[in-house]
This record gives sequence, C-alpha cells and structure tokens, in this order.
Amino acid sequence: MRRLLITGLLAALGTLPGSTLRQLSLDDMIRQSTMIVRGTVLPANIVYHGSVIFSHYTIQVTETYKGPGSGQIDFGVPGGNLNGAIQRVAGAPVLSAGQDYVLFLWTSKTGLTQIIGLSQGLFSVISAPGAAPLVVRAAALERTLNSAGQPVSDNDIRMPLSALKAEIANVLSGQSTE
Amino acid sequence: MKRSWIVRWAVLVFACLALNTNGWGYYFYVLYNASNGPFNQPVVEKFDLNSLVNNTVPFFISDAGPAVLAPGDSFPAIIGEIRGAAAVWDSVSTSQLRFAYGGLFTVGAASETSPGIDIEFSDDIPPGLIAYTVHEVTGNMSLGSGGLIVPIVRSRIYLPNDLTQVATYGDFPSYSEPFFVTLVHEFGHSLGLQHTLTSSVMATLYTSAASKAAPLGADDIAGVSVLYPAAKYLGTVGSISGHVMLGSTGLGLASVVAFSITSPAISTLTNPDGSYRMDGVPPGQYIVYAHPLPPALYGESTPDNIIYPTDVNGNPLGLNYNAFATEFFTPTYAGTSDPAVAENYPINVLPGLLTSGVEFHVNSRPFQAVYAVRTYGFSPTNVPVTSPPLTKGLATPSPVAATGGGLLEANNPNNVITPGLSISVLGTAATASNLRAYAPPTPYIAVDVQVNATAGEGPKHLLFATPDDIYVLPAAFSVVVSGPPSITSVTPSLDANGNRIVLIAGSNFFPNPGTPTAIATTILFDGLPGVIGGTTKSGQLIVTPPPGQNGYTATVEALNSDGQSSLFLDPIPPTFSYGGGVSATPSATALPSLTVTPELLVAGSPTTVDIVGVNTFFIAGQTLVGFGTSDVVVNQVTVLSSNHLSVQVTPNVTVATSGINVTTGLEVISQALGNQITTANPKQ
Repeated sequence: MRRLLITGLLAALGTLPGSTLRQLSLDDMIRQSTMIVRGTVLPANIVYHGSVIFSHYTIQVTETYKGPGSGQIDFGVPGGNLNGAIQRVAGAPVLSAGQDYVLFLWTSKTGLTQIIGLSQGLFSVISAPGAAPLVVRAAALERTLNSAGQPVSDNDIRMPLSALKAEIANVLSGQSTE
Repeated sequence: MKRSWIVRWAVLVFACLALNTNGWGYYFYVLYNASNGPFNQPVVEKFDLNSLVNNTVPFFISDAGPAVLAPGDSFPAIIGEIRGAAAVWDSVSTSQLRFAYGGLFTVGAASETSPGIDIEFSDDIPPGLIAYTVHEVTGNMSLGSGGLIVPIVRSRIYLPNDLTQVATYGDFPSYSEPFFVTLVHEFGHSLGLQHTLTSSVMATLYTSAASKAAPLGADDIAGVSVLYPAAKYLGTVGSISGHVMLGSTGLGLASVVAFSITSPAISTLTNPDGSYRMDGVPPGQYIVYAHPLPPALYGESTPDNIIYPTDVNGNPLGLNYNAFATEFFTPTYAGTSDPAVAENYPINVLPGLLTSGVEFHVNSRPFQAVYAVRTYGFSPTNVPVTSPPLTKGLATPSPVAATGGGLLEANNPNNVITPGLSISVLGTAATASNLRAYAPPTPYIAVDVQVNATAGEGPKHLLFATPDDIYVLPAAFSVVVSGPPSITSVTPSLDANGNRIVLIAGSNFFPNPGTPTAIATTILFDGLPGVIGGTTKSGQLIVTPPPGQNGYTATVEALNSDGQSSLFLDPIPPTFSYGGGVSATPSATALPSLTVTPELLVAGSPTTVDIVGVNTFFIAGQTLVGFGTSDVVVNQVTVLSSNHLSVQVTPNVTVATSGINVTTGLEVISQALGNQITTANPKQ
C-alpha cells in the first residue's frame, strides 16, 4: 500500500518551487512542448509582455523534432533590463549567443513562446571532433571547475543527441516505455 | 570540557552588531559596490520603508481572477488564501514591514508610482512552472531604510490562470497545502528573500519542510527580520562570522548553517571572498557547519536557483564557487564530520553581539555525496506528508521515506543504496534504523524512526553520512504529542444573540493554548480564521466564522501550530454554507451594491470618501477598502453602520473612485466588476 503511495508522491509532490517549479520528466516535456527544435541562438530584443519584461531570442533552426518549427523562431525568457527597469526571475536561464541548443518550446494561449519549465527544456549540444554530439542540460555548463581543474559533474541529463531524438520519436509515436 | 571551551571562545565575542550593517543571514538579492572587493558592504534589494506609509506594503489581486478554478473553489476563497499568505509574513513581529490588502486591481489600468505587490493570473506560465515572482528594481542604489539599498519598486506574483491544469497537481484548489505554501514562498521572494537550504519556506521544495499550519521556519523569520528589522530587534539577536576557505582561497556561495539539536536551523551564504556573517541568530548555543550548494538540479538554471550577486553595474563577480566536503566547525579549524565531536564546540551566541572567527578550511570534492534530500511520512489515514510529524511515545517506529541526490547508486536501475550510506538522528530524541530502498522504479529510500517518549517537541534533524562526506537535513521530521486535527462535522448554528456560529466536532483540537500544551488550533474558512469562542459540553468547538454572504460556501480546515492540519487526514475539507438553514445577524441575501462619493480623488488632496451600501454588513475592524492602486493610501476606515462607511484617503495621483472595492470577511464587493464576486471569473 505504502509503496503505491510513495509512487503517487512522485506525481503529487515532486515539485520544485522557487519560481515554483515542477520537475518534468523528459517524456513530459516531449508531450507538453509545442515545438522541439535544434539550432543556434541569437539575442533578439527585450520587450514587455503585460507587466513582465521578457528577453527574447531567435533560434536559427537546423533540425525540427516536433511541431512546425523551421527557419527562425522567436521565444522569450522572463526577466531583463528595459528602460531603466530591471526584472529578475529565479531559475530563468541566460542563453549564450551562437551556442547550439535543443529547445523544448511551448506557446501559450497568448502566443508567447517560451522554454518549458524555465530551464528544464534547455539542452546544450556538445560536439567534439570524432565523437557523436551529446545533449547536456544547460545548467551543467554553468558550474565551475573543481580544485583539480575538472568539470564538476552530477546526475545531469547527458545523452547522445541520437538517443534524445529516438526518445522523442518514440514518445510521439506512443512507444515510450517511461 | 564544553564549558571551558565556551569560556575560551567567549573572548572572541565583541559588541559591534548594533551599528554594523555589513552582514546578513539567509540570502538576499545582493550586489556589491566594488567588483574586486572588499565584499564587506553588500547592498540588498528590498522595499524602502521610507517610501511606504506606516512601513506597510500594499498588495493587490488582479480582478480578472483565475479564468478556471478547481471544482468547488471560488474567487473569494482565492482572495482569502492570498490574504492568509500575506498575513503569515505580516505576523512576524521582529520585522517592521507590515502588509495591507489594497483590494482588487485591473492589470494595466494604472501606472503605479508607489511600491506594492501585485498578484496576477497568467496564461503564460509554461509547463513545469507553477508560479513565479518578479521583483522590479531600477538598479540605482539609494540611501534607504537601513543604509544603502536598491529599492524594489514593484513585485509581481504570477499564478496560473487555469487552476485545473497546474503542473503536477492538475486541480490546484486554493485550500490545499501546496497552493498556500507556494503563495507564502512567492511572497517571500517579493520581499527580497532568495532560496535557502534549511528546510524553511524559502527553500526550494526539494528541502522545504513548510506546511500550511507552520509555514515559516526560523530561517525565514530571521531573514525578513534582518531585512526589515523592527526597533531593537538587532539587539535581541546575535551574529556569527568567519570564512570558508579552500586552501588560501575564499569560497563564494558556500552555505553556513547554525542549528542546535533542539532548534531549527538558520543559514547564510558566503561573500565572493569566502567571508560570511550571519545576523539574526537567537541567543543560544549552536553547532555550525559549512556545506556547498548542491549542483544545479534538473530544471534549475543555477545551484538552488540562486541569482548570483553582481557589481553595481550588474556584471557577474568572480565567485570562486566550488564544491567541498561538508564539515562541522571545530576550534582548530580542521573541521569534523562527527556531530558528537561538533557538539563539544558549540558557538555561544549572545544578544547584540558578534561571535567572530568561526572559520572553515574545507577539502575539495567534485560535488556533495548527498544533496537535496526531502523526507515524507504518512498520516494515520496514509496521506503522504512532507517533513512528517511523528508522535512520541508510540510503541512502533514510523517509516520515513526520503528522496534526493546520492541516496541511491547512480545509473543503477535496481535501486541500490549508495554503498556506505548511513542515516542517523542528530541528538537523542529518536533513533533511525532499517535503512532500505524502495523497489524500482520508485527512487526512494526509507528508515524507521523511533521517537523516544521523553523527546522534546519540534523539528529534528537527520544526518546522512557516506564514507567521505556528510549531509545534514534540518527539520527532516518533527516530534509532536498528538496526531493531526480531525473535523468530523460542521454544523451551522446561532448564539444567544442570534449571531452566526459554527459548531465543529472532531479531535485533537487545542482551543486553549497552554493547557496543557502550547499548541493552538486555528479554524480557517476559505483561508480566513474564525474566532474560537469556547467548546460545548460535548467538546465541539464554538466558532464565529468570518463574515460572508448568505448562500456562500466556504471550506473549513483545522490547523494546529505544531504544523499539522486536518488536510493530513482528509485532503478534501468539509464545507460550511452561510445561511445553512439558520437566519443569522448580520445577514444579507440579495446582491450588494455601493454608492461612492466623490467620483474623483485629486492628487495630493486628502479626501473623505463616503460609501453607502445596499445589502451590505460592514463590520468595524473587518471591513477593508481598496482602490486598486498603491497610489491611493487608505488611512482610516470608519464603519458608521452596517451599510455606511467613511474612509479617509490620501491620493498620490488623480483617480476615479469607480475602482473601489470593499471586502468584509469573505464578501468581496467590487464596484468596477458589478459588485458581489462569487464566481470563478468575475467577468463572466
């Protein structure tokens, strides 16, 4: 009985408020995103949506895994500096211009496109000569080196891009085992 | 040995706190005057009390309300819970910041010139996010209350517009534990508090022990009190200072925690040069330890989603952030992972004094062996409860489940406990045994906790030890003397004067704090407290509910100050229908309306506003008037009769009074929206 309950806990209580975040599984993100695309990012503009400043970026799409995404797509991240006002949102990522990303995007009823779960739907693509590209949760890149000069690591999502693409395809075709 | 060491250590204590403003506890939004140090003058973002009337920050709720509510919910209930969450912070007597409900407002209708907090409902909250807070500053430092600050000009809390499609929860009713705790958490952000790691409401939910019945931890109280200290507060608490060093390098953003075996934890983060100063520490003896921030967890953009300090131009600072092995303080600065050793070297904190020289020289690790742990238990009806309350004196131990980084072997689908991991209770209040893993795929472990019959009540801490690191989870569970309150029936009635009362039957009620325990019971009606007037011969609570319109239905919850709630037994609360077959005084059945004069408030002209209501029941002390903007200060509300108000206001801008709204208990009257508000979407 309690095993069942504890399983329920994962669904009922596995949340991360902060900006109050809920941890999405990879399959959640695949299902709930409106677009999943790969591409390089450039900063665009900073505008208000209602009372919130959003820093907008443009992603030059190189691959589309879900949805209609192609060409250039505009999306916003809450927070930014505009007309002397500074707004900051805990958990909102800062994207690096020119970086290769996989983005899980979601478009709201109002037409605003954002990354799912602030940072949760943001993956950096790491390409090394002679090696298959990896996708890594972006936050892992923001950590520092340890005293030995080695990157700090933990249980981040880090998988071959091909595996991520396969998982996306499986979920979208209803074959996911998660 | 302990006593002699305290005497020796006492020589390092010196008086300097009262006039010293270069420290803090917890974590604020911080910038520094200099990019390269020294870092002893942090500048924090906060409301400038000098720009607030009577140190009071008004908060406003979008009149659009949520477009879709959970079944049975109502907009007045949402308003009641939001007011309740604000009241949590308002109740901190050691902070001089007060809160005032300014009523409903229309998003975008006014360009505010005075500080305030807005609560809005948004369709733009993406999946994976339940709520968030934006506080807006100009970036300009100014000499405000407490010295040089960056004033918050506006804070905005965003909640989902559809409360039936909320991440994780689906339906997100306003009476629920997570709805309320989320609100309290977001209000904390709106004031200038960042995340901490000491199981307080400002922790991320990874480690939060907050509950609706006891939302604030010691760390939260110290945080808001240091940010907005009440008169003489700083003279009643002490401070601890020192450094966290890795070799000769100071580590930034290291977390330093002070706690005792029998009291909750307070923490702070180090400055970029590794120095720290923790203010607002209640007098007493503390064990102090230093630990790194956990790795940025999945979904976090930085460790603990901390917004890093910057220089005055907003440029990032070199933080020297690095992971290290957690250690307790010892006077040789060698540190120890043994809490029994650490107990021999308590830090003695005295009121108004700084205890300096609490230094750490830590050893590097790639990352913490164990981090971001959260515990769960089960109520008598098997409802899962975080940071569970465990009743002392039980014959059998209680299972406590835990999830977090490092508890199970990484990349092993078979749920194998991390080799060498042990879990113990700090102190003698309880013992933990039978460490085990849940069966896959559930990534949980569990231990059985036996609470000693003589254990003191309150939060207890767990120590997770691996062969080369330790992790302390403050307030991993709490010791209580009884189970959660239970409501078995809610019966409308009248007192001898014909006033509406409610008879509430159940168990584990404590209507008279101090007899025999200090526990106090509160009965909430849609988030607003009723007044407990006594008990019947059969033990039912006699409660006067907050005012409400006949026909209105409110949820009823019992909260005990030991952190337990009737929702622990039944997550769906009973309801109370105003009217309910009895005719009470005051009472009104038809829809209310207002006539307000004058129609215009002129900037700079203190004005008396006359309000005549129809089908209203204004009550002195309970009727609140707002104009939906922080630029109209309501100085006084005088109830002339049940349908007549006189309100003294000072407008900073010229506004029409048509935006007025009047709230009496659970009755919300908005002239702009067509008066009585009872539905999910008042515009419908």
